[in-house]
Amino acid sequence: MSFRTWVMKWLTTTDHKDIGILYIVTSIGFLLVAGSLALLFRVQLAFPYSNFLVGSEYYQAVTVHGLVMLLWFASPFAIGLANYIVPLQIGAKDLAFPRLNALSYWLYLFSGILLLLSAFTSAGAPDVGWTLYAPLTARIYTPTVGMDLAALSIFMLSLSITIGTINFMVTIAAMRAPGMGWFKLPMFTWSMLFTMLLMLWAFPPLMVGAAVLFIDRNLGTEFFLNPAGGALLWDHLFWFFGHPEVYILLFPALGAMADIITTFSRRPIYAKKYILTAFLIATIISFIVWMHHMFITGTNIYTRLFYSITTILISIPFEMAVMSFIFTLYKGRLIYTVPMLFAVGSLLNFIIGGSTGVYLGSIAIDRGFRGTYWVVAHFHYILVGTVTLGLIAGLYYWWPKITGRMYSERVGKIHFVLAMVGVALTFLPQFVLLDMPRRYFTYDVPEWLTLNQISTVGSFIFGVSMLVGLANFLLSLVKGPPAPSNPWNAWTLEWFIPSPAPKHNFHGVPIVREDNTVVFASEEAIEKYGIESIRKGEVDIPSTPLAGGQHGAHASHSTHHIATLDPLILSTGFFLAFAGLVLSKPVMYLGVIIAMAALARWLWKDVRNLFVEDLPGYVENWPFPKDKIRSAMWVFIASEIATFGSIFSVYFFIRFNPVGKFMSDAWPPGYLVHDVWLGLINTVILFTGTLLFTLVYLGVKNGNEKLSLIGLLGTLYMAILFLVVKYFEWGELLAAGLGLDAGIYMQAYYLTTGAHGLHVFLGVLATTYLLLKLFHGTLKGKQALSEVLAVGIYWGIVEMVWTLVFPLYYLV
Amino acid sequence: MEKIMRDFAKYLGVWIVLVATAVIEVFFVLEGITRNPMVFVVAVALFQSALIALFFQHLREEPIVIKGMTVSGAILIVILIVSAVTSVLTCTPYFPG
Repeated sequence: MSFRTWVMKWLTTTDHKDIGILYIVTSIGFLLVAGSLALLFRVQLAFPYSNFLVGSEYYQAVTVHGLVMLLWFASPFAIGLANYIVPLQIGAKDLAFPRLNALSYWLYLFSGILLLLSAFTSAGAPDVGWTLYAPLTARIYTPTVGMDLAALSIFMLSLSITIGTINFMVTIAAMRAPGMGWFKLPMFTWSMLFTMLLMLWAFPPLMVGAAVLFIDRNLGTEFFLNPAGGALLWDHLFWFFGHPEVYILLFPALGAMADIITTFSRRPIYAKKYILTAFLIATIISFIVWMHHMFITGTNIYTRLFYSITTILISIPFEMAVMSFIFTLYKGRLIYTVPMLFAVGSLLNFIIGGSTGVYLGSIAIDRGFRGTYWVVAHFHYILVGTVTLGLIAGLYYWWPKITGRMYSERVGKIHFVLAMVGVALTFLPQFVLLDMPRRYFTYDVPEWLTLNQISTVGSFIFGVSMLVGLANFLLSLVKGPPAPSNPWNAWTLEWFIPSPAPKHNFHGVPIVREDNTVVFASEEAIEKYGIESIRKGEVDIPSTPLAGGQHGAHASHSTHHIATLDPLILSTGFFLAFAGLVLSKPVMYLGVIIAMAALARWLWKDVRNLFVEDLPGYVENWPFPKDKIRSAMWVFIASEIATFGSIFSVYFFIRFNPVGKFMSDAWPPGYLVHDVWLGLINTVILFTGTLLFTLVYLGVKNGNEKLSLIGLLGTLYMAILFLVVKYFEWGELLAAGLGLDAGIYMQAYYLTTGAHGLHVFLGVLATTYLLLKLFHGTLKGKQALSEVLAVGIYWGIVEMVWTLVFPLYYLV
Repeated sequence: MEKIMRDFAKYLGVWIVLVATAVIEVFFVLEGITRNPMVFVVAVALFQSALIALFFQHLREEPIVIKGMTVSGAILIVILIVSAVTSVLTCTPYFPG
């Protein structure tokens, strides 16, 4: 393969395995950046009054370290592993939407570059801490453009995460191999499903928070400065994301650890159904614990009590997981390979990190520990000791499958020992430093010196361990012995195929039989014998796969991986538009033009039905519909509920905050400010648009193109009319002096109706797309009906949001 | 065509109810008939949203998991809003005095 072909392969790939590798490599790049920053500030803390890294530079290092580690290393590293492994574990040929998968990756990469770009601006990167607490992030306190770039990078990353979440959820829900029932799914796949569910609802508040922060800083609004909103409003939005984020990071590591412990204990995971139930409970409870991060903000004591109880409660499901792992190890025939060592080490660290966190659930103890190194030690034991080492365990475990090469066990064990020693030396002393405040770049208490120095030495040992690990992986790539299909004698589906996984994953359709053996059948065999008889073992198809992947009859079915530059170009457009928005307006316009052109190119291919691929009839999809486009839209709607819900939470918080009543710009009744009748007219217009869209549905369903045309034109007309009315309404308000400076109630109005208007515009694009399909003669058949239903569901949520926007802003 | 008309009549009926409730909502609030306008308009919005979800989005034909997923998201948001609001109803650090 020539160099040019090699480069083009990586730029245009949509293969889940390639994208998984891209995610892993990129996230390791971000790890090296953020890890180096950690070493820099550990050097600063090794001596009191040191001048190595002080003031804003220290805070920039701490802020970028935290943001990059959490958002651009740990989660994406897990997503990289999941990209490669999950489709193999469930017996799928790829993710549900390969091009969107590539788009997720490129958006992720460019969002990270956008954040790091801030370091090269005149005043440097943001220096406000990774929690971006208001009002420190306001322009008057932090006037740097780095802060704007950080807000936009988080927004862009959230887009990537949302797209990825939809893709994974639909893949796991509706693309499982025949016989791959829910309880046969490996723990890693389960853990990724829970992770995606958490991401689905946790990221929208962060996305809204980042957008509002950017608007505050650039358009003169004051959501996070105004006493009726302010710091508490940011805290709510941030921590509604922030606490589930801990489990977003933790679940993939626990899932990888569970698969590894199962394989190297030679026993199935203990009490799997109970553990899955515990994970589900933890997923739910994780959304009602966030206010323990706000115990000392002076919030209502009864609310604090509730959140104290839930915080302590959430430890129970994880205690169950720990017990399950220990019982799996107990009486197991343990094989101490490198992945197993890392998994057991992570488990040990998890016990330390988890148990030290329970204290923080107590309102009284939290008051003492808040903002000290106890908290730093606790969450680093989870994020480094458990999550990072757990994911490294996963990388070692699946490395032979990903690369087709074995690594050096000896060097891997040195990596493990150094990493465990590094974690212990770095973070155990920090528990003892429980009276030292975090985020200080110097100190003058002699008792803290030795502990800080041990911690610094530990951090360098940990850094060296990472370099040893990296060297091991690189050496393996260069001269590692070839890996067999199943070097670990593991039981999950990914080990039934050659290493590295072949281009189309499986030669044939994997079918999990009732006795838990797997056969690979051709589509001809499936047609001849039927899935059920193969699954029940009534037909004699070889059940033991052979090395090289020649199993049973060869299949004719294969997925062609699309090579396209569209995701890369679209992401580049987004990147230039966002960077230009802060740094250079011409660059912004260029970015917008590139993004629009890329989107048009992408959609034009779909108008011509170039990539239609229905789900095969035999996939396991219960209890989801066998329609991936519609399923994807529903998952997106769930995320939209969280997005608009976050915007409405801004409204309710400000409106009900008692302090607002004492302000000069207290919120007046809506009918005194807005034209109620104009609002009502727009309500009827929107309702009518959705009614007309039902004609499209009926037209496509019944093969009546004329009806579809009337419906599409009518819907478009109504949607555009809605936007025109809104445009004139905004104009009138601005002319009447009711702009953004009129008060926070007008700012909230423009925020909400602006976000809603943007969604109407996207609805116009989606409807135009269907119209083009109709003109092109491709709006017919099953695929078209799925797309029409999906756009109809989208219009439904746009309308539902308006049923709240109208009365809340225009009437009350 | 007759079947199409019959189906469309169903959607038209839902549209009539939606428009009627919007008009009644405006009338009730502007005339001061509702005792608690905020609760009233939220209740009307929930009613309208349920109609939209069940008929225009065809939620009633979807599997329970899809229904559960959308409702769960809404519940979580209600928790966010209620917690955020109750957290400042007393003891807010910004409260004058």
